[in-house]
Amino acid sequence: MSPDLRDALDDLARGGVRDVDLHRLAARSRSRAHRRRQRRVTTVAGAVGAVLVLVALLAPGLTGVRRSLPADTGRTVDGHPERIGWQWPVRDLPDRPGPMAALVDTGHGWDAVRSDGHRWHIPMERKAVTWPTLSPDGRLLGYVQSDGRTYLVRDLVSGQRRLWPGLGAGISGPGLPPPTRWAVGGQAPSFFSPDGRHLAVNGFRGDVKDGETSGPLLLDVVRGGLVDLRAGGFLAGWLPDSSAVATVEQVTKELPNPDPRIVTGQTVLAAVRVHVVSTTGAELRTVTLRPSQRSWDPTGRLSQRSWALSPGGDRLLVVEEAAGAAFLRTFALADGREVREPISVLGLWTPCGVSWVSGAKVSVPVLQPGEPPSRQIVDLGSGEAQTATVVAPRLHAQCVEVLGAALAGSGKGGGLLGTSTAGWTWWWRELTLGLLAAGAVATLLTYRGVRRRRTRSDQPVDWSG
Amino acid sequence: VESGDFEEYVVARGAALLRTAFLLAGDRHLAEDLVQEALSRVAPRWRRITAKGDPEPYVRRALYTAAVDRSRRRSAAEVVAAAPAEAVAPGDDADAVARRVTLHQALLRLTARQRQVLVLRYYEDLSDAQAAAVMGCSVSTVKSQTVHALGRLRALAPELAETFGRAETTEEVTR
Repeated sequence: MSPDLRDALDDLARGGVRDVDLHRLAARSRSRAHRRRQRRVTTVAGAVGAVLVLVALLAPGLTGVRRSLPADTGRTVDGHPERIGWQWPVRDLPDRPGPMAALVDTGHGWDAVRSDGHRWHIPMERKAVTWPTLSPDGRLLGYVQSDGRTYLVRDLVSGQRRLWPGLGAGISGPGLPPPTRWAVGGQAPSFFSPDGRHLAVNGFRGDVKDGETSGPLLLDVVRGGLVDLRAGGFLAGWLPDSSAVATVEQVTKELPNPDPRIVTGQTVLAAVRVHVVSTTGAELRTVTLRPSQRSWDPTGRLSQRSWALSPGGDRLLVVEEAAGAAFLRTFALADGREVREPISVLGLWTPCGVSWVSGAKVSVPVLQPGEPPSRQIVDLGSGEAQTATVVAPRLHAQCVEVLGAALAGSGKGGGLLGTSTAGWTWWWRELTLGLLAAGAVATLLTYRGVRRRRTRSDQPVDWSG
Repeated sequence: VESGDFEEYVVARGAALLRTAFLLAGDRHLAEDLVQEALSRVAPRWRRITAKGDPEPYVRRALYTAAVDRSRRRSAAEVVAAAPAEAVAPGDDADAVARRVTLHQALLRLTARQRQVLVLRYYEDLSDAQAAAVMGCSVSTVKSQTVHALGRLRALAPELAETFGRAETTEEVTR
């Protein structure tokens, strides 16, 4: 070591820093330490807050517990789910979940769906595959209980229940108790009246072989009781004043047999009649639909879910499946004439039924190969179709029914993904969690590295020369 | 922070810390900032540090760490060009002032690491091993940095060659 250099450095340093206020230096150092601590606290608080927000956003979808939405406390449904996705667990429908917006057949039974996409399992019978029904405002839900022998209407807002013990699923077989007197048709649709006071179901006599009597049954939701309307056909809906129901009856005819060796002739659709029946069972009028664009396709097929009465009660939507395609046809209920050009909808899945939204807009189920089921809104005037609700492929759903009132409202629960059906969009929570976990691991490793370096650089050094 | 203890320490040792910081930074204001930074790093742990004994080693370590951090943050082109504000001390002759200015200018032309090794070895009187521990490098690196720093000083200020001592080769110092 050079003593000269040490002296020279000391001389330089002493000349460089003279007359420093050391009390001020101490105060400023303390102040800087305080600011540093505040910055650190703010940073940590911000990071913790960000993590909490992320967890709060992600946890509901993962746990199945979502925060209450305004729709829960309202009396009617106010929107529709854009996405019905995977959820765990799916709990049984509670007493007062609020109005529902949709029903989805997940392959493990029917689920009721809130407007934000949250699902609850409906504890209903599954052997006869009866369908549940929602009232137009989403407040009432009707279904056959899991015992298969009792029909139940639940008020999802007040929690009230009304039972019809004699109206079941019509299940019979060896070892089973005798069927109930009345049964609900498995695939046929049921309709709540617009005022919510009645429920019309397609029923049959469960205790009579071959279902000798079948047709609309009327359940009084307010006072209880059941009335057989003794009308023909399948239900299509209610008139807007809740005074009568419309049923549709298919009239078939047998074509002349060209070959005498063939015993059975070919049965084709000859006509479609609409009966308007009051709640007392009186037939108010009968209208025969008059296809003007083209006649009914002789090879065409109409199912019990092929029609829907408009909310105004003046139009009847009919889905005709013919030659491998499905057509939407619109008829006036007043005189039966066809009022619009038939519209072909790609992938229309007729077993799930159609419904009206408002004006000229109808809701149709769509199921295309390789795609999950969805609900589209079709404008009967322009023919334009817009996807309103999509269902996650892993739910293995067949049908999704969305209330017209819900579809008239805004889409909910879709977030930035909307109605996208891209594969990754159904796994965004898992992907986000994976990224978060990777980020957490990277942060932890970085923090450990920084701590290690800092610890090393903070170790005191033996300063004795 | 026990403000009394802390302030006592700063008043007692602040000037020495500032002198070291001045040699590391080359500027009075930067030196003050460096000492503030070092003290602010140890202030939150002052009680724990003083409980272990003399806080000086911790503060010195913090000072050098802060100097390294600062030199990393500053761009290579950034050079402190200011002459020492107090180049002239009472009673100094012209030669003393000239030597001081020359040494200061030469130090400013060194890298931060070279200044650091010179300060540790020749101003703080630390051994190679102690300097290596402070700088977080090997002893041989300290030795080679010392040789390079002294060589550069000789080249930058040949008139102070006596001050810097006999020239050594890297081989000699690493033996």
